[in-house]
Amino acid sequence: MKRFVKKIFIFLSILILLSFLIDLAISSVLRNDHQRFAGEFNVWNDIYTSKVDCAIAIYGSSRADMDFDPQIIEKKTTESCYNFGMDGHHFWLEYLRHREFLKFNKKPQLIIVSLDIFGLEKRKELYNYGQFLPYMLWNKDIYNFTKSYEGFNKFDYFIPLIRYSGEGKVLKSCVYTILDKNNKKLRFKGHMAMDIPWNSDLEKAKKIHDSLVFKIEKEPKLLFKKFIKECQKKNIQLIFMYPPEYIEGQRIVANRKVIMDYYVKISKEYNIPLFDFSNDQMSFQKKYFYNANHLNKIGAQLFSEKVADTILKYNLQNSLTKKL
Amino acid sequence: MLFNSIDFAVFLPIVFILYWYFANNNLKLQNVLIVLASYIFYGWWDWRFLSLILFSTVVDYLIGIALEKEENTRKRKIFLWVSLAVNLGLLGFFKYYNFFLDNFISAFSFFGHPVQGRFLNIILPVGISFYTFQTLSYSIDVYRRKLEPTKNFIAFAAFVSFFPQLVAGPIERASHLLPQFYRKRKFKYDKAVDGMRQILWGLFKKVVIADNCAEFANQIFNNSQDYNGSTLVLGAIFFTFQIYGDFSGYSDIAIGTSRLFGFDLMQNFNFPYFSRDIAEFWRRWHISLSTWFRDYLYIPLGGSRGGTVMKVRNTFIIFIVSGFWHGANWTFIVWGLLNAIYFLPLLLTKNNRNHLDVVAKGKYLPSIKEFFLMGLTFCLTVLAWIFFRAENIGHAISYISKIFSSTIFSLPENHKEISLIFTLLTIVLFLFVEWIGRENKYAIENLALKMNSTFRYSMYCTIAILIILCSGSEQQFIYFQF
Repeated sequence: MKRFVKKIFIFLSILILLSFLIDLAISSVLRNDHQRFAGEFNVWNDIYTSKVDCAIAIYGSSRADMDFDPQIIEKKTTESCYNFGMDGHHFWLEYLRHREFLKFNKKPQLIIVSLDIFGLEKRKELYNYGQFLPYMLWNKDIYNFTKSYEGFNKFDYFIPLIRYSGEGKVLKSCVYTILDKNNKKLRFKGHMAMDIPWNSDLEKAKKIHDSLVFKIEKEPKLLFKKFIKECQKKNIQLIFMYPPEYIEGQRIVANRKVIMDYYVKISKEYNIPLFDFSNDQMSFQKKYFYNANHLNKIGAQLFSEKVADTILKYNLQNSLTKKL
Repeated sequence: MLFNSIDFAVFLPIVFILYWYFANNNLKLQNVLIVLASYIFYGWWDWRFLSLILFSTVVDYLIGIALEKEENTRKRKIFLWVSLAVNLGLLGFFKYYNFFLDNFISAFSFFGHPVQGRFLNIILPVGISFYTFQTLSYSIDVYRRKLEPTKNFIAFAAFVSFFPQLVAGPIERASHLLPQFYRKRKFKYDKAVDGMRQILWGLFKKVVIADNCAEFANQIFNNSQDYNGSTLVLGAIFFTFQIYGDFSGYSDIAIGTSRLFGFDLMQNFNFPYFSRDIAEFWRRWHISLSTWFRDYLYIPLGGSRGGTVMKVRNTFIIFIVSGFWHGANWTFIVWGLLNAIYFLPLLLTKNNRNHLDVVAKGKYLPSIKEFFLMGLTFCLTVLAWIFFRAENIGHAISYISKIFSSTIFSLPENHKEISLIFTLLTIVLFLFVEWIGRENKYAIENLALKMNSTFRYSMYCTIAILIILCSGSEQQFIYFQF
């Protein structure tokens, strides 16, 4: 019996070691996949390899990632800029990205927080969960911030290779990455330009819902305040920006005013400038959008000019230079 | 509890430790532990159906004792009929009630007498066809005085509910398995290692082969109207390997698990896709069910002792009943019928027992004739599996007619898809390993045993890694529904 148990133990030890090595190999190949998971690996890689060195950081959801072009902002303000927008997620996971960014990189001078009407909600499922796969093994921050979602189980965070079980698509993308098929970077400094025409998202949403109501949930609200306090303590300047939103899209949100009022209240409470572009003339022109929430490439370029102008107009650039 | 689940990965070592460390010197305690473990294992799905197993156990236990005491032939027959009625009654109710009702209604309507019936929303208890047949074998053998009835209720309950083979076989005979519960069992290193090896191979068949094939087979069968002929052929081939990997994988895990506890179960699959004719295929496919029908249905019907007509009749009965055993759907009956038709020429020309040995024994490759025969048998089997997998007869016929259209000569759709290529490569690898190991009880039984331990461990680790990578969501075993 002892011999049998010993053999099983040896076998399992070898298996765990091998699993770990294969896990490393898969993860390192996957990190180089620039196409899948909305290009999020581009951003995570820059964060975890300490390649982000920016004075201006942009936080937010996909609206941030698609609406703010760091190249234009850099050119006008002469300050380096990086876009941390995270597709499909709300503030809860935007904060995770902020933590990881500060842990591995120099802190920025200015953070532009791109606000969303849905930003203080928390979704149930871990949307685009594949973006965490190569970084999540034994990563406490990722564990703490993603464990409450429907996505991974506890074993996935701590046992090598288990999280890749049944992930045929992920493994397939590894093969494509090795073969270097269609592996152009989707994002530049975190920004993804959407050079596509208007789609039917708004019409579909209208068919399904007469109106939409978004919540301000307790946990994200507390985290948002915690984030503000932390930034102020670290002497990082914060500004809130609400990017353009197509007017018809604004109209189907029943409690839009309640949420906007909350953001105004927070900005006053913590003395943070808030620039609301949802009333800007851009929001009335469909040609700048590819759906109600997101600007297209031309819209993003125009809006980024406006962002840079705002920074210059309100002397935010000067305050940056002083700090630098 | 599924064999390919985390639950079972935790459950098995716990039972193993309790069995060998705490109940090692006490046979009764070991048997009690097996009963408890088996009831937990089964109750994991739905504890309510434990009452059915318990009821079946008590009835057959009491009937066994009554059959031993009773000398009057008529009364003995009545006892046997009670056992048959209880076991087949439960099976019939849970599995076939709605099917018979539906067909009666259709038949009456057809003859101009529309009737109404009340369909029931019945949940099929997992594995009912398997344990029912196992307990029936006990009652019949006791009735035939081929087996001494047991007075040890715990041993009998353990025999009926033995968890490794409770839900999907092999369907054990009382004469083979029951005596093993009377004997003291000692831990044997070689047996346990062999058991682990067979579990590993079973998991590989299930998780790597069957589940990967299932993905494509389901996609193609569920949308067969959208695919060309060659893709449908591919879909049928994928299902052919899915059902083999799924069911024989389960049997391997069951046999391997039993060996960990010191038991020997019968071989259920013997490399059926290397058969040279359909008769050989049926000697190698689901052996425990085929031999059950042979012993308890075919032989009592007269077997092959009578004239040609009787032989043909018995053959058709056995195949149709075998098809019907799989499920309450005409597709299974046609599947059985088709196999009977395949079998008929061999029976009539007395060639049904031509291939009793292993194909190309001691050789690396088969002869051209053997290769051709294996290919032909495989094609016939694939064709029959289409009926087995199809939703209904209409679906099967449209599937087959689309295969035999001009689109069969076009390339399969998505043939450059990496996951498709990967699955095809794993099938080729699997067939290669099966071919090398075809003279053993399972493919990797002796494979690499003569090699050094580094090579052997590398092979086991590769298999284990493939299992981990391909597992993911737990997939049900197909045969659970039967």
